[in-house]
Amino acid sequence: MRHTGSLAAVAIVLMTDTDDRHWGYELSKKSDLRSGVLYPILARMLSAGWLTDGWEDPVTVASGRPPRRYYQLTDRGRIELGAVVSEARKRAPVRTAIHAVRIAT
Amino acid sequence: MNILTEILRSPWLYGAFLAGFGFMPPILIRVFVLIYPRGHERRRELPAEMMAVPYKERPVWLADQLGLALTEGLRERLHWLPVVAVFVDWRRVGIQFVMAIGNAGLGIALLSKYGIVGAGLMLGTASILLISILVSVWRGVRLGGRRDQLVALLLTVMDPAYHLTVAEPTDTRAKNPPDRWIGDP
Repeated sequence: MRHTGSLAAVAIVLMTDTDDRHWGYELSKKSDLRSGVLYPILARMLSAGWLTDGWEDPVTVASGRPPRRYYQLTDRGRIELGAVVSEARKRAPVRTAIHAVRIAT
Repeated sequence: MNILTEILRSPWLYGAFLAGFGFMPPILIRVFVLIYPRGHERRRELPAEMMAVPYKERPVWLADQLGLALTEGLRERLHWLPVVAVFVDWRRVGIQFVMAIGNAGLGIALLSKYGIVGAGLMLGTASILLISILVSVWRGVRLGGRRDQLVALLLTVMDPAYHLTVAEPTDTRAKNPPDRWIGDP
């Protein structure tokens, strides 16, 4: 997969909490990417085996809301995205740091 | 052209736009996801995601989803195009395309004189499609050595899952170790 700035932005968000489940809209807000850019990246990550996906359990979902699709990192994804983040830090350390701070706050 | 400017000037257009993007996002998102092929995850995912989007952000979010559906969804619907590309002589299609544009222009010029611009546009589009299909099929039939691929093309167009099923090896047990067999007692 080609290492782009958008991929690095998604990688930083996913690597902040590697065990957590992530949603499309949440990822798009945190990584500051339009969904037109984000969803194709997620699809590529899924097909590469870096992410796994699933659907919320309808029993646990609040009433009136359909279950959402979540994305979760796989072990392979942790390794690959770790490499993407460290490469991004080397290439653009300031931008990566600002992005990480923005996500943390 | 007059019809187009009249449509663009019409307050109904802006009213419909505001009503659709401002007040009816749940309906519009369900229409947009129809662009994706049947059974695609985005058909469920995007309406569910919309519930998490704040109201004031929904019009922009919706416009973004329309763009996504048109790029991602249409590409998946037109999955058979790469197979068609095997048969197509692109120089010939280029010539045919220019001719079809000429036909369309002529059609528009002739029919707009009688005030039927829409019919001219439809005629042009239909002629482009028809010529492209005829060229690709003719080219495929002419290439005798690729008859099996022509059959594959027809099967792919009729059954979207065909290109996945042909990729499956016939003897899966030979490829997989015994501990990965599914359904064995």
